[in-house]
Amino acid sequence: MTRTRRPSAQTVAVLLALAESPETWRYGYELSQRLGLKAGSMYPILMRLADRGLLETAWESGPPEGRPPRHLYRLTGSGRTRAAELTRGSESHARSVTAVLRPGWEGA
Amino acid sequence: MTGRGRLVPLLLAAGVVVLALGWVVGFTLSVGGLPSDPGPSSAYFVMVAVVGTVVAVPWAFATRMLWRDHRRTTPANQNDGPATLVALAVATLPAERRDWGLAMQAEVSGLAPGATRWRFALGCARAVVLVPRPLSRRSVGIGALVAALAVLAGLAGGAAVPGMGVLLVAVVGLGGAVLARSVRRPGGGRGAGLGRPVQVAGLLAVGACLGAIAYFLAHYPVAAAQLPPVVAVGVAIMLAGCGWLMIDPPRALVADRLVGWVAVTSSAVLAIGLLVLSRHRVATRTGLGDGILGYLYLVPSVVIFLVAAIAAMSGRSFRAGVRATVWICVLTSLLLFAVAIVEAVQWYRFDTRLILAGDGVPLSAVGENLRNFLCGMILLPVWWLPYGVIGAAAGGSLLHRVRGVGTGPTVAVRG
Repeated sequence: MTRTRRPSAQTVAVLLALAESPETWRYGYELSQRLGLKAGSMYPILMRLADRGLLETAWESGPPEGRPPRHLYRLTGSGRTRAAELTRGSESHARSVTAVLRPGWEGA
Repeated sequence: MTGRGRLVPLLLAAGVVVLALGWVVGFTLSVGGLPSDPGPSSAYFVMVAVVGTVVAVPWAFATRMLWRDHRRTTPANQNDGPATLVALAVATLPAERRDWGLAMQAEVSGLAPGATRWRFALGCARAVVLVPRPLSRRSVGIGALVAALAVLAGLAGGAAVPGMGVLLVAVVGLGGAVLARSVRRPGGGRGAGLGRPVQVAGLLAVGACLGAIAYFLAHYPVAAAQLPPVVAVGVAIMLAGCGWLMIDPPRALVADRLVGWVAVTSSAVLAIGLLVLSRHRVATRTGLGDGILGYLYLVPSVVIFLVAAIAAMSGRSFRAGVRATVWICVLTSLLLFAVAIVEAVQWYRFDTRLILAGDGVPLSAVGENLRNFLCGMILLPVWWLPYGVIGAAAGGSLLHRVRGVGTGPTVAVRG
Protein backbone atom coordinates (compact mmCIF):
# COMPACT_ATOMS: atom_id res chain seq x y z
CA MET A 1 0.00 0.00 0.00
CA THR A 2 2.79 2.40 0.85
CA ARG A 3 5.58 0.89 -1.22
CA THR A 4 5.25 3.12 -4.21
CA ARG A 5 5.03 6.34 -2.22
CA ARG A 6 8.16 8.43 -2.37
CA PRO A 7 9.98 8.30 0.93
CA SER A 8 10.56 11.45 2.96
CA ALA A 9 13.68 13.51 2.41
CA GLN A 10 15.17 12.22 5.63
CA THR A 11 14.48 8.60 4.66
CA VAL A 12 16.11 9.18 1.28
CA ALA A 13 19.10 10.68 3.04
CA VAL A 14 19.45 7.62 5.28
CA LEU A 15 19.13 5.27 2.31
CA LEU A 16 21.69 7.16 0.26
CA ALA A 17 24.08 7.44 3.17
CA LEU A 18 23.94 3.70 3.73
CA ALA A 19 24.28 3.10 -0.01
CA GLU A 20 27.55 5.05 -0.16
CA SER A 21 29.33 2.08 1.31
CA PRO A 22 26.80 -0.75 1.20
CA GLU A 23 29.02 -3.42 2.71
CA THR A 24 29.84 -1.36 5.78
CA TRP A 25 27.84 -1.80 8.95
CA ARG A 26 26.78 1.52 10.46
CA TYR A 27 25.42 2.28 13.93
CA GLY A 28 22.73 4.65 15.10
CA TYR A 29 24.74 7.46 16.63
CA GLU A 30 27.16 7.44 13.69
CA LEU A 31 24.29 7.83 11.21
CA SER A 32 22.73 10.48 13.37
CA GLN A 33 25.95 12.50 13.40
CA ARG A 34 26.63 11.90 9.74
CA LEU A 35 23.24 13.14 8.62
CA GLY A 36 22.54 15.67 11.34
CA LEU A 37 19.38 13.76 12.19
CA LYS A 38 18.05 13.60 15.73
CA ALA A 39 17.59 10.14 17.24
CA GLY A 40 13.86 10.82 17.44
CA SER A 41 13.69 11.03 13.66
CA MET A 42 16.34 8.52 12.75
CA TYR A 43 15.25 5.44 14.68
CA PRO A 44 11.66 5.45 13.34
CA ILE A 45 13.16 5.71 9.84
CA LEU A 46 15.48 2.79 10.49
CA MET A 47 12.58 0.76 11.89
CA ARG A 48 10.47 1.44 8.83
CA LEU A 49 13.31 0.50 6.50
CA ALA A 50 13.88 -2.73 8.42
CA ASP A 51 10.12 -3.50 8.44
CA ARG A 52 10.11 -3.14 4.65
CA GLY A 53 13.07 -5.44 4.24
CA LEU A 54 15.36 -2.67 3.01
CA LEU A 55 17.63 -2.74 6.03
CA GLU A 56 19.63 -5.58 7.51
CA THR A 57 20.46 -5.47 11.21
CA ALA A 58 23.05 -7.21 13.34
CA TRP A 59 24.61 -6.89 16.77
CA GLU A 60 28.19 -5.75 17.17
CA SER A 61 30.52 -8.54 18.22
CA GLY A 62 33.17 -7.92 20.87
CA PRO A 63 32.22 -4.47 22.12
CA PRO A 64 34.56 -2.76 24.58
CA GLU A 65 34.10 -3.83 28.18
CA GLY A 66 31.37 -1.87 29.94
CA ARG A 67 29.51 -0.94 26.78
CA PRO A 68 26.65 -3.06 25.44
CA PRO A 69 26.96 -4.22 21.84
CA ARG A 70 25.75 -1.76 19.25
CA HIS A 71 22.95 -2.47 16.82
CA LEU A 72 24.38 -2.28 13.31
CA TYR A 73 22.70 -1.52 10.03
CA ARG A 74 23.34 -1.89 6.32
CA LEU A 75 21.18 -2.13 3.23
CA THR A 76 19.82 -5.42 1.99
CA GLY A 77 19.79 -6.22 -1.71
CA SER A 78 16.32 -4.67 -1.95
CA GLY A 79 17.56 -1.67 -0.06
CA ARG A 80 20.43 -1.15 -2.46
CA THR A 81 18.06 -1.47 -5.39
CA ARG A 82 15.73 1.06 -3.83
CA ALA A 83 18.59 3.44 -3.15
CA ALA A 84 19.76 3.07 -6.75
CA GLU A 85 16.25 3.78 -8.01
CA LEU A 86 16.04 6.87 -5.88
CA THR A 87 19.41 8.06 -7.10
CA ARG A 88 18.55 7.47 -10.77
CA GLY A 89 14.95 8.66 -10.53
CA SER A 90 15.59 11.96 -8.93
CA GLU A 91 19.22 12.81 -8.67
CA SER A 92 18.42 16.44 -8.40
CA HIS A 93 16.07 15.77 -5.53
CA ALA A 94 18.63 13.60 -3.83
CA ARG A 95 21.24 16.31 -4.27
CA SER A 96 18.95 18.84 -2.70
CA VAL A 97 18.28 16.49 0.17
CA THR A 98 21.91 15.80 0.83
CA ALA A 99 22.69 19.46 0.45
CA VAL A 100 20.51 20.37 3.40
CA LEU A 101 21.85 17.55 5.52
CA ARG A 102 25.33 17.39 6.92
CA PRO A 103 27.81 16.11 4.33
CA GLY A 104 30.56 13.55 4.83
CA TRP A 105 31.21 10.72 7.27
CA GLU A 106 32.62 12.90 10.01
CA GLY A 107 34.79 10.76 12.18
CA ALA A 108 33.18 7.57 10.95
CA MET B 1 27.82 11.84 47.37
CA THR B 2 27.85 13.29 43.85
CA GLY B 3 25.53 16.03 42.66
CA ARG B 4 23.51 13.49 40.72
CA GLY B 5 23.49 11.20 43.73
CA ARG B 6 21.86 13.94 45.80
CA LEU B 7 19.52 15.09 43.05
CA VAL B 8 17.83 11.78 42.36
CA PRO B 9 16.67 11.10 45.96
CA LEU B 10 15.39 14.67 46.13
CA LEU B 11 13.47 14.24 42.90
CA LEU B 12 12.05 10.93 44.10
CA ALA B 13 10.99 12.50 47.41
CA ALA B 14 9.35 15.38 45.55
CA GLY B 15 7.54 12.88 43.33
CA VAL B 16 6.23 11.01 46.37
CA VAL B 17 4.95 14.24 47.95
CA VAL B 18 3.20 15.25 44.71
CA LEU B 19 1.68 11.79 44.40
CA ALA B 20 0.39 11.86 47.99
CA LEU B 21 -1.11 15.34 47.54
CA GLY B 22 -2.69 14.24 44.26
CA TRP B 23 -4.14 11.20 45.96
CA VAL B 24 -5.68 13.27 48.75
CA VAL B 25 -7.18 15.67 46.20
CA GLY B 26 -8.50 12.75 44.15
CA PHE B 27 -10.02 11.13 47.22
CA THR B 28 -11.64 14.41 48.22
CA LEU B 29 -13.17 14.75 44.76
CA SER B 30 -14.34 11.13 44.79
CA VAL B 31 -16.43 11.75 47.90
CA GLY B 32 -17.96 14.91 46.49
CA GLY B 33 -15.44 17.57 47.45
CA LEU B 34 -14.85 19.28 50.76
CA PRO B 35 -17.68 18.85 53.24
CA SER B 36 -19.86 21.93 53.61
CA ASP B 37 -19.31 21.76 57.35
CA PRO B 38 -15.94 20.17 57.98
CA GLY B 39 -16.25 20.76 61.71
CA PRO B 40 -13.24 22.22 63.44
CA SER B 41 -11.03 23.04 60.45
CA SER B 42 -7.84 22.12 62.27
CA ALA B 43 -9.14 18.59 62.90
CA TYR B 44 -10.16 18.25 59.26
CA PHE B 45 -6.79 19.31 57.95
CA VAL B 46 -5.03 17.06 60.44
CA MET B 47 -7.05 14.18 58.97
CA VAL B 48 -6.01 15.19 55.45
CA ALA B 49 -2.38 15.35 56.55
CA VAL B 50 -2.64 11.91 58.14
CA VAL B 51 -4.17 10.39 55.00
CA GLY B 52 -1.49 12.02 52.84
CA THR B 53 1.22 10.64 55.10
CA VAL B 54 -0.33 7.17 55.06
CA VAL B 55 -0.15 7.27 51.25
CA ALA B 56 3.30 8.83 51.06
CA VAL B 57 5.21 6.59 53.49
CA PRO B 58 4.70 3.26 51.68
CA TRP B 59 5.38 4.99 48.38
CA ALA B 60 8.61 6.44 49.77
CA PHE B 61 9.77 2.94 50.72
CA ALA B 62 8.58 1.43 47.43
CA THR B 63 10.24 4.14 45.34
CA ARG B 64 13.49 3.67 47.23
CA MET B 65 13.37 -0.09 46.61
CA LEU B 66 12.65 0.34 42.90
CA TRP B 67 15.46 2.87 42.59
CA ARG B 68 17.91 0.63 44.47
CA ASP B 69 16.99 -2.29 42.25
CA HIS B 70 17.53 -0.15 39.18
CA ARG B 71 20.92 1.06 40.43
CA ARG B 72 22.03 -2.38 41.53
CA THR B 73 21.13 -4.13 38.30
CA THR B 74 22.32 -1.46 35.91
CA PRO B 75 25.95 -0.77 34.96
CA ALA B 76 27.29 2.60 36.07
CA ASN B 77 27.24 4.04 32.54
CA GLN B 78 23.58 3.13 32.18
CA ASN B 79 22.03 4.51 35.34
CA ASP B 80 22.46 8.26 35.00
CA GLY B 81 19.67 10.60 33.94
CA PRO B 82 19.84 10.12 30.14
CA ALA B 83 20.28 6.36 30.38
CA THR B 84 17.44 6.08 32.89
CA LEU B 85 15.22 8.17 30.64
CA VAL B 86 15.91 5.86 27.70
CA ALA B 87 15.47 2.75 29.88
CA LEU B 88 12.07 3.98 31.05
CA ALA B 89 11.04 4.89 27.51
CA VAL B 90 12.08 1.60 25.94
CA ALA B 91 10.35 -0.32 28.74
CA THR B 92 7.10 0.76 27.12
CA LEU B 93 8.05 -0.75 23.79
CA PRO B 94 6.26 -3.92 22.77
CA ALA B 95 8.30 -7.11 22.71
CA GLU B 96 8.77 -7.12 18.94
CA ARG B 97 10.58 -3.77 19.15
CA ARG B 98 12.87 -4.94 21.95
CA ASP B 99 15.98 -4.92 19.78
CA TRP B 100 15.45 -1.28 18.90
CA GLY B 101 15.16 -0.37 22.54
CA LEU B 102 18.40 -2.19 23.32
CA ALA B 103 20.01 -0.43 20.35
CA MET B 104 19.11 2.98 21.77
CA GLN B 105 20.34 2.02 25.23
CA ALA B 106 23.64 0.80 23.80
CA GLU B 107 24.18 4.04 21.89
CA VAL B 108 23.41 6.21 24.90
CA SER B 109 25.72 4.22 27.16
CA GLY B 110 28.53 4.77 24.66
CA LEU B 111 28.26 8.56 24.77
CA ALA B 112 30.20 10.74 27.17
CA PRO B 113 28.16 12.43 29.92
CA GLY B 114 26.97 15.87 28.99
CA ALA B 115 24.67 17.71 26.63
CA THR B 116 25.21 15.32 23.70
CA ARG B 117 24.19 12.36 25.81
CA TRP B 118 21.07 14.18 27.02
CA ARG B 119 20.14 15.28 23.48
CA PHE B 120 20.51 11.79 22.10
CA ALA B 121 18.53 10.32 25.02
CA LEU B 122 15.69 12.80 24.52
CA GLY B 123 15.68 11.90 20.84
CA CYS B 124 15.45 8.21 21.72
CA ALA B 125 12.52 8.89 24.05
CA ARG B 126 10.82 10.71 21.20
CA ALA B 127 11.57 7.82 18.87
CA VAL B 128 9.79 5.45 21.24
CA VAL B 129 6.69 7.62 21.02
CA LEU B 130 7.00 7.68 17.23
CA VAL B 131 7.53 3.94 16.78
CA PRO B 132 6.22 3.34 13.26
CA ARG B 133 2.87 1.67 12.93
CA PRO B 134 2.42 1.01 9.23
CA LEU B 135 -1.14 0.72 8.03
CA SER B 136 -2.19 -2.48 6.38
CA ARG B 137 -5.37 -3.39 4.54
CA ARG B 138 -6.29 -5.47 7.56
CA SER B 139 -5.94 -2.61 10.01
CA VAL B 140 -7.82 -0.21 7.73
CA GLY B 141 -10.62 -2.78 7.55
CA ILE B 142 -10.63 -3.15 11.31
CA GLY B 143 -10.70 0.63 11.69
CA ALA B 144 -13.74 0.94 9.41
CA LEU B 145 -15.48 -1.90 11.21
CA VAL B 146 -14.74 -0.34 14.59
CA ALA B 147 -16.11 3.02 13.50
CA ALA B 148 -19.33 1.39 12.33
CA LEU B 149 -19.59 -0.66 15.53
CA ALA B 150 -18.96 2.43 17.66
CA VAL B 151 -21.85 4.28 16.03
CA LEU B 152 -24.13 1.27 16.38
CA ALA B 153 -23.08 0.71 19.98
CA GLY B 154 -23.76 4.32 20.81
CA LEU B 155 -27.19 4.30 19.25
CA ALA B 156 -28.20 0.94 20.70
CA GLY B 157 -26.64 1.50 24.12
CA GLY B 158 -28.03 5.00 24.45
CA ALA B 159 -31.50 3.79 23.53
CA ALA B 160 -31.39 0.79 25.87
CA VAL B 161 -29.78 2.48 28.89
CA PRO B 162 -29.83 6.27 29.10
CA GLY B 163 -26.36 7.56 29.87
CA MET B 164 -24.49 4.67 28.23
CA GLY B 165 -24.36 6.07 24.69
CA VAL B 166 -21.21 8.19 24.90
CA LEU B 167 -19.43 5.62 27.06
CA LEU B 168 -20.10 2.82 24.59
CA VAL B 169 -19.06 4.88 21.57
CA ALA B 170 -15.83 5.86 23.29
CA VAL B 171 -15.06 2.36 24.57
CA VAL B 172 -15.74 0.67 21.24
CA GLY B 173 -13.81 3.35 19.35
CA LEU B 174 -10.78 3.34 21.65
CA GLY B 175 -10.87 -0.43 22.09
CA GLY B 176 -10.95 -0.85 18.33
CA ALA B 177 -8.01 1.51 17.95
CA VAL B 178 -6.07 -0.57 20.46
CA LEU B 179 -6.93 -3.73 18.55
CA ALA B 180 -6.03 -2.24 15.17
CA ARG B 181 -2.76 -0.89 16.58
CA SER B 182 -1.73 -4.29 17.85
CA VAL B 183 -2.84 -6.13 14.71
CA ARG B 184 -0.91 -3.89 12.33
CA ARG B 185 2.42 -4.47 14.04
CA PRO B 186 4.37 -7.57 13.19
CA GLY B 187 3.99 -9.97 16.08
CA GLY B 188 1.61 -7.63 17.90
CA GLY B 189 -1.70 -8.45 19.45
CA ARG B 190 -0.85 -11.74 21.04
CA GLY B 191 -0.07 -10.58 24.51
CA ALA B 192 3.61 -11.00 23.72
CA GLY B 193 4.26 -13.66 26.31
CA LEU B 194 1.87 -12.33 28.91
CA GLY B 195 -0.13 -15.53 28.88
CA ARG B 196 -3.76 -16.21 28.22
CA PRO B 197 -4.99 -16.20 31.84
CA VAL B 198 -4.29 -12.51 32.39
CA GLN B 199 -5.44 -11.56 28.91
CA VAL B 200 -8.75 -13.38 29.12
CA ALA B 201 -9.42 -12.39 32.73
CA GLY B 202 -8.50 -8.78 32.01
CA LEU B 203 -10.71 -8.44 28.96
CA LEU B 204 -13.58 -10.14 30.79
CA ALA B 205 -13.05 -7.75 33.70
CA VAL B 206 -13.21 -4.75 31.35
CA GLY B 207 -16.48 -6.14 29.96
CA ALA B 208 -17.74 -6.73 33.50
CA CYS B 209 -17.11 -3.07 34.35
CA LEU B 210 -19.15 -1.94 31.37
CA GLY B 211 -21.89 -4.41 32.24
CA ALA B 212 -21.93 -3.22 35.85
CA ILE B 213 -22.30 0.42 34.80
CA ALA B 214 -25.14 -0.48 32.45
CA TYR B 215 -26.81 -2.55 35.20
CA PHE B 216 -26.55 0.34 37.65
CA LEU B 217 -27.85 2.93 35.20
CA ALA B 218 -30.70 0.63 34.18
CA HIS B 219 -31.79 0.46 37.83
CA TYR B 220 -31.10 4.10 38.65
CA PRO B 221 -31.30 6.27 35.52
CA VAL B 222 -30.86 9.34 37.71
CA ALA B 223 -27.24 8.24 38.17
CA ALA B 224 -26.55 9.14 34.54
CA ALA B 225 -25.90 12.66 35.86
CA GLN B 226 -22.63 11.27 37.26
CA LEU B 227 -21.58 10.15 33.80
CA PRO B 228 -21.49 13.29 31.64
CA PRO B 229 -19.69 12.98 28.28
CA VAL B 230 -16.33 14.15 29.65
CA VAL B 231 -16.41 11.60 32.46
CA ALA B 232 -17.66 8.90 30.08
CA VAL B 233 -14.72 9.50 27.77
CA GLY B 234 -12.34 9.43 30.76
CA VAL B 235 -13.79 6.08 31.86
CA ALA B 236 -13.50 4.78 28.30
CA ILE B 237 -9.84 5.83 28.20
CA MET B 238 -9.18 3.95 31.45
CA LEU B 239 -10.96 0.82 30.26
CA ALA B 240 -9.34 0.93 26.82
CA GLY B 241 -5.99 1.48 28.52
CA CYS B 242 -6.55 -1.67 30.55
CA GLY B 243 -7.52 -3.49 27.37
CA TRP B 244 -4.27 -2.29 25.77
CA LEU B 245 -2.29 -3.62 28.72
CA MET B 246 -3.91 -7.00 28.25
CA ILE B 247 -3.59 -7.21 24.47
CA ASP B 248 -0.21 -5.59 23.96
CA PRO B 249 1.63 -5.16 27.26
CA PRO B 250 4.85 -3.13 27.45
CA ARG B 251 7.96 -5.24 27.53
CA ALA B 252 8.67 -4.36 31.16
CA LEU B 253 5.37 -5.92 32.21
CA VAL B 254 5.60 -9.12 30.24
CA ALA B 255 5.34 -11.88 32.80
CA ASP B 256 5.54 -15.65 32.81
CA ARG B 257 2.51 -17.87 33.11
CA LEU B 258 2.97 -18.44 36.83
CA VAL B 259 2.78 -14.72 37.54
CA GLY B 260 -0.27 -14.53 35.28
CA TRP B 261 -2.08 -17.27 37.13
CA VAL B 262 -1.13 -15.81 40.50
CA ALA B 263 -2.51 -12.42 39.46
CA VAL B 264 -5.75 -13.86 38.10
CA THR B 265 -6.33 -16.09 41.12
CA SER B 266 -5.56 -13.36 43.65
CA SER B 267 -7.79 -10.79 42.02
CA ALA B 268 -10.62 -13.34 41.67
CA VAL B 269 -10.31 -14.24 45.36
CA LEU B 270 -10.43 -10.57 46.32
CA ALA B 271 -13.50 -9.98 44.15
CA ILE B 272 -15.28 -13.02 45.58
CA GLY B 273 -14.32 -11.86 49.06
CA LEU B 274 -15.99 -8.51 48.44
CA LEU B 275 -19.09 -10.21 47.06
CA VAL B 276 -19.34 -12.51 50.10
CA LEU B 277 -18.81 -9.59 52.49
CA SER B 278 -21.47 -7.52 50.78
CA ARG B 279 -24.03 -10.32 50.66
CA HIS B 280 -23.34 -11.22 54.27
CA ARG B 281 -23.89 -7.67 55.42
CA VAL B 282 -27.11 -7.33 53.49
CA ALA B 283 -28.37 -10.75 54.63
CA THR B 284 -27.54 -10.24 58.31
CA ARG B 285 -28.16 -6.50 58.35
CA THR B 286 -24.89 -6.00 60.18
CA GLY B 287 -22.20 -3.54 59.29
CA LEU B 288 -24.23 -1.77 56.63
CA GLY B 289 -23.31 1.56 58.17
CA ASP B 290 -19.61 0.75 57.73
CA GLY B 291 -19.77 0.13 54.01
CA ILE B 292 -16.92 -1.68 52.27
CA LEU B 293 -14.28 1.02 52.58
CA GLY B 294 -12.21 -0.95 55.08
CA TYR B 295 -12.19 -4.04 52.88
CA LEU B 296 -11.13 -2.10 49.79
CA TYR B 297 -8.15 -0.48 51.45
CA LEU B 298 -6.94 -3.13 53.86
CA VAL B 299 -7.59 -6.61 52.46
CA PRO B 300 -6.11 -6.14 48.96
CA SER B 301 -3.07 -4.38 50.48
CA VAL B 302 -2.34 -7.42 52.64
CA VAL B 303 -3.06 -9.94 49.88
CA ILE B 304 -0.96 -8.06 47.33
CA PHE B 305 1.92 -7.77 49.80
CA LEU B 306 1.88 -11.52 50.43
CA VAL B 307 1.37 -12.56 46.81
CA ALA B 308 4.13 -10.25 45.60
CA ALA B 309 6.48 -11.75 48.17
CA ILE B 310 5.59 -15.27 47.02
CA ALA B 311 5.92 -14.30 43.35
CA ALA B 312 9.36 -12.79 44.02
CA MET B 313 10.45 -15.95 45.81
CA SER B 314 9.07 -18.36 43.22
CA GLY B 315 10.38 -16.26 40.34
CA ARG B 316 13.67 -15.64 42.21
CA SER B 317 13.38 -12.06 41.14
CA PHE B 318 12.29 -8.80 42.76
CA ARG B 319 10.91 -7.77 39.41
CA ALA B 320 8.76 -10.89 39.15
CA GLY B 321 7.09 -9.73 42.35
CA VAL B 322 6.69 -6.21 40.98
CA ARG B 323 5.16 -7.53 37.77
CA ALA B 324 2.75 -9.69 39.76
CA THR B 325 1.84 -6.60 41.79
CA VAL B 326 1.03 -4.55 38.72
CA TRP B 327 -1.17 -7.24 37.20
CA ILE B 328 -2.99 -7.95 40.47
CA CYS B 329 -3.63 -4.23 40.95
CA VAL B 330 -5.01 -3.81 37.44
CA LEU B 331 -7.21 -6.91 37.55
CA THR B 332 -8.38 -6.33 41.13
CA SER B 333 -9.26 -2.74 40.41
CA LEU B 334 -11.48 -3.77 37.51
CA LEU B 335 -13.11 -6.72 39.27
CA LEU B 336 -13.77 -4.86 42.52
CA PHE B 337 -15.31 -2.00 40.54
CA ALA B 338 -17.70 -4.40 38.79
CA VAL B 339 -18.65 -6.22 42.00
CA ALA B 340 -19.05 -3.03 44.01
CA ILE B 341 -21.27 -1.34 41.42
CA VAL B 342 -23.55 -4.37 41.09
CA GLU B 343 -23.72 -4.74 44.86
CA ALA B 344 -24.40 -1.02 45.24
CA VAL B 345 -27.76 -1.64 43.59
CA GLN B 346 -28.62 -4.21 46.29
CA TRP B 347 -27.45 -1.97 49.11
CA TYR B 348 -29.52 0.96 47.95
CA ARG B 349 -32.57 -1.16 47.24
CA PHE B 350 -32.32 -2.78 50.67
CA ASP B 351 -31.44 0.15 52.91
CA THR B 352 -31.04 3.30 50.73
CA ARG B 353 -27.32 3.37 51.54
CA LEU B 354 -24.21 3.99 49.48
CA ILE B 355 -22.03 0.91 49.50
CA LEU B 356 -18.67 2.63 49.95
CA ALA B 357 -19.10 4.07 53.44
CA GLY B 358 -22.68 3.09 54.25
CA ASP B 359 -24.09 6.62 54.08
CA GLY B 360 -27.86 6.86 53.77
CA VAL B 361 -28.78 9.13 50.86
CA PRO B 362 -31.89 10.16 48.91
CA LEU B 363 -32.52 8.63 45.49
CA SER B 364 -31.19 11.74 43.78
CA ALA B 365 -27.74 10.98 45.25
CA VAL B 366 -27.57 7.28 44.43
CA GLY B 367 -25.25 8.10 41.52
CA GLU B 368 -22.53 8.90 44.05
CA ASN B 369 -21.86 5.18 43.97
CA LEU B 370 -20.61 5.58 40.41
CA ARG B 371 -18.46 8.59 41.21
CA ASN B 372 -16.94 6.89 44.26
CA PHE B 373 -15.86 3.83 42.33
CA LEU B 374 -14.84 5.51 39.08
CA CYS B 375 -12.37 7.54 41.13
CA GLY B 376 -11.54 4.39 43.06
CA MET B 377 -10.39 2.68 39.88
CA ILE B 378 -7.37 5.01 40.00
CA LEU B 379 -7.05 5.72 43.71
CA LEU B 380 -7.18 2.12 44.92
CA PRO B 381 -4.36 0.73 42.72
CA VAL B 382 -2.21 3.70 43.69
CA TRP B 383 -2.89 2.78 47.33
CA TRP B 384 -2.13 -0.94 46.82
CA LEU B 385 0.92 -0.73 44.55
CA PRO B 386 3.60 0.20 47.11
CA TYR B 387 2.59 -2.69 49.37
CA GLY B 388 3.23 -5.07 46.49
CA VAL B 389 6.63 -3.53 45.79
CA ILE B 390 7.55 -3.80 49.46
CA GLY B 391 6.27 -7.39 49.45
CA ALA B 392 8.40 -8.21 46.42
CA ALA B 393 11.48 -6.84 48.17
CA ALA B 394 10.60 -8.76 51.33
CA GLY B 395 10.19 -11.99 49.34
CA GLY B 396 13.53 -11.49 47.63
CA SER B 397 15.23 -10.78 50.92
CA LEU B 398 13.68 -13.83 52.56
CA LEU B 399 14.80 -16.04 49.70
CA HIS B 400 18.35 -14.78 50.13
CA ARG B 401 18.32 -15.55 53.83
CA VAL B 402 16.89 -19.02 53.30
CA ARG B 403 19.56 -19.75 50.73
CA GLY B 404 22.23 -17.96 52.69
CA VAL B 405 23.29 -15.93 49.67
CA GLY B 406 24.28 -12.30 50.07
CA THR B 407 22.74 -9.79 52.44
CA GLY B 408 20.93 -7.44 50.09
CA PRO B 409 17.20 -6.90 50.21
CA THR B 410 16.64 -8.15 46.69
CA VAL B 411 17.62 -11.13 44.62
CA ALA B 412 19.20 -11.44 41.23
CA VAL B 413 17.08 -10.14 38.41
CA ARG B 414 16.40 -12.27 35.40
CA GLY B 415 14.24 -10.06 33.23
